[in-house]
Amino acid sequence: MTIQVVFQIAAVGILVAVLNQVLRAAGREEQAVLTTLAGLIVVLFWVIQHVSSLFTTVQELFNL
Amino acid sequence: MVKILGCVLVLASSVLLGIYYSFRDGYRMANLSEIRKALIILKSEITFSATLPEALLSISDRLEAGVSGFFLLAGTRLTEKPSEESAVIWRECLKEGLAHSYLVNEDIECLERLGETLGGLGKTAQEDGVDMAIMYIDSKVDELRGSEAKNKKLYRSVGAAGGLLITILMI
Repeated sequence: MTIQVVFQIAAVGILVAVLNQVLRAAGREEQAVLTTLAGLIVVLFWVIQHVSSLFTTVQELFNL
Repeated sequence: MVKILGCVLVLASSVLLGIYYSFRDGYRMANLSEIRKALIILKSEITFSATLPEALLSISDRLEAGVSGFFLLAGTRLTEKPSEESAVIWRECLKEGLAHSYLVNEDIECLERLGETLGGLGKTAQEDGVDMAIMYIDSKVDELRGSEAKNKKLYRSVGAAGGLLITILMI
């Protein structure tokens, strides 16, 4: 895993937080929730491979 | 290099899109005010017994470009086809003449309802129809005036943040 992914996730987190605040301030709670959800799904897509490889490593390490 | 250029293009276009959306409410208000002006003239023309095509053509002369095209089109069509129902022509002209305006479906529907009262019914009913449309426009303009500043900020921020988000996702 490169450090770039971590920075990308951090940037997406910051931007989604900003969008969330802006939309909430404008009284558009529904869109704010959808934006947060979209950000979460995108980040999950990025990290899912890494989470899977982490599980495999843990399984191998403890001979499970 | 190409990547950076792409990022700049995506960012610039989303910021510009945000700015465009932030100006739309203002343009819609201008269109509504122009139509309000036209309806006031139309009401006075109805009161002074002008025929509908004459009134519409006279309005198109007095208005600035934008919505005047609709009144010119409706006036011309009604003069050319006097036997056809005026509400049908009015509806067709609304779709064609106001296609490039900033009015939303709700505004067009209100004008369509006005078209049903024009031409056929008595003078009082026509004047009432115009009054109803003017009242609708006034309430919409007030509503837009209240939310314009807030929406302007919102669209600009969302445009810029959305552009940054897409850029980060694409890198």
